[in-house]
Amino acid sequence: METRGDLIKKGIADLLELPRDIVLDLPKITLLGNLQLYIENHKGIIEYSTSLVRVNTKAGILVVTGSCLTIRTIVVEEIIIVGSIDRVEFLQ
Amino acid sequence: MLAVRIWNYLKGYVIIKVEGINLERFINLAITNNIYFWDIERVNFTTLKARVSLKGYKHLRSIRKRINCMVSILEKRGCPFLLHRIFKRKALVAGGITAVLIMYFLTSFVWVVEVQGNERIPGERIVRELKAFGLKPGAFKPFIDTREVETKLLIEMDQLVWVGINILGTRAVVDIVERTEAPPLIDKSVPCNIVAKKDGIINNIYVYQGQAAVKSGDTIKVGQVLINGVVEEPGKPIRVVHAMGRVEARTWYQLTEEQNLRLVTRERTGQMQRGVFIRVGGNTFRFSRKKCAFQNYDTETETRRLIEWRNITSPVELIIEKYYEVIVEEEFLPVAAAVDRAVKKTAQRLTGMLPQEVEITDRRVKYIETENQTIRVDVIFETLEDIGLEERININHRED
Repeated sequence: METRGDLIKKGIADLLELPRDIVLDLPKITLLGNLQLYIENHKGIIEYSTSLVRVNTKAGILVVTGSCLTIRTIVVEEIIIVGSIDRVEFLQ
Repeated sequence: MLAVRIWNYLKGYVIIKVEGINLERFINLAITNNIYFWDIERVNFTTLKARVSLKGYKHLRSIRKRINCMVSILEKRGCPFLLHRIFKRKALVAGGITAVLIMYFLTSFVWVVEVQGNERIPGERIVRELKAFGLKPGAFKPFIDTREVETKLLIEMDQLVWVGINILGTRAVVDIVERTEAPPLIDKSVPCNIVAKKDGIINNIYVYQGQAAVKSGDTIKVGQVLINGVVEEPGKPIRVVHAMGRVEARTWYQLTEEQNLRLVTRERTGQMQRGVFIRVGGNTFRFSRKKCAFQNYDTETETRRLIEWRNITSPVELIIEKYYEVIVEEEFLPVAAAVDRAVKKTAQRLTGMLPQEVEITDRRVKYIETENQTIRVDVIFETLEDIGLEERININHRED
């Protein structure tokens, strides 16, 4: 997955102490208890149902499982998923 | 979050139902086209419910063509739809506008005439007089010239010194000041006695006309006859005259003053802080960040009403407190100095109390030390004044 360019970017980010999420274009994910999941910098939604949400990101596919999941807000940069969240995992 | 919801409501939004196979693609396409979605809910495998702004809904059409799906509106919400619905009911809108116009029309009349400041003249009489000049319930405001009515009323009623008419909304408030009438002077031809208007001891009595009833050194009481208008001389018939004369008497005024022996002086250092509060109804909220940091301070409070229009005042008040830092110094006064201070204070009070043309001849000071480090000082001023007062003699029963 990681290319040579990514490695260089990572090195520069470490060296200059730049925020990695910006340099590496990574998603920033905030989980509020098990009630709300906030994903910044996503690459589109792959699957959505009340028990499973799959979101594409630079770091892989983010799989959120739970119940009563709804998308509170969705714009180009961010998604807010609310409901009862059981599991959040990355699939490569 | 609330602000966003209010904003969405104002702009208007629709709840849509999307039916199709690849709904995730629909969402992705929509967001890349800058269509704002929120509260997306999966109903079943092929159905999705979401909220979208009015502008976004118009753009959805192009996406709908590209992806094979059906979009239908479940509900329309927000201001634009509400307004649309209201304006459809023309009679209601017309009724509302008419009601406002009628209100406006009715407020251009005076409905209540209030009279303030009258003590002896009954309010109804003034209201009646005002009615004659056009200021009455039902009068059209632009036709009332308050200045003119004021002058007319002043000319009409001698008992009034000043009239001020303010029209506040639909109320006309009439402030009046009545003439204070001078004490009746008794004509020189009318028989009268001179009586005492105060207790005292006669010092000097000069009789211009009539017969002295008291002599120097006599103690007199209020109402006692000093110069008699009924002159009885041996060998002559009784004459009734208008008694005249000057009766100088010694009178006393007693004043009591309490003086604390502990004297606290507060001197401002020039340091000042400000506290801002907002009072809504009966509740006060602090608006400024910090509390007053001074240990000792004087507070000056300033209240501003935010809206003040005619006789409507808003329940919201802005309270600004200014805290001035002070240095508090305590000192103990010796008793003699405290007495001195109290006497000085009484002298000031006395000048406001005494009638004119009174001469202070003597001053006596007594003091008692009471509890709490205070002393009570009684100051008795002895004065010399004319205590004569003319009083008409009732002749009728003498003639019987």
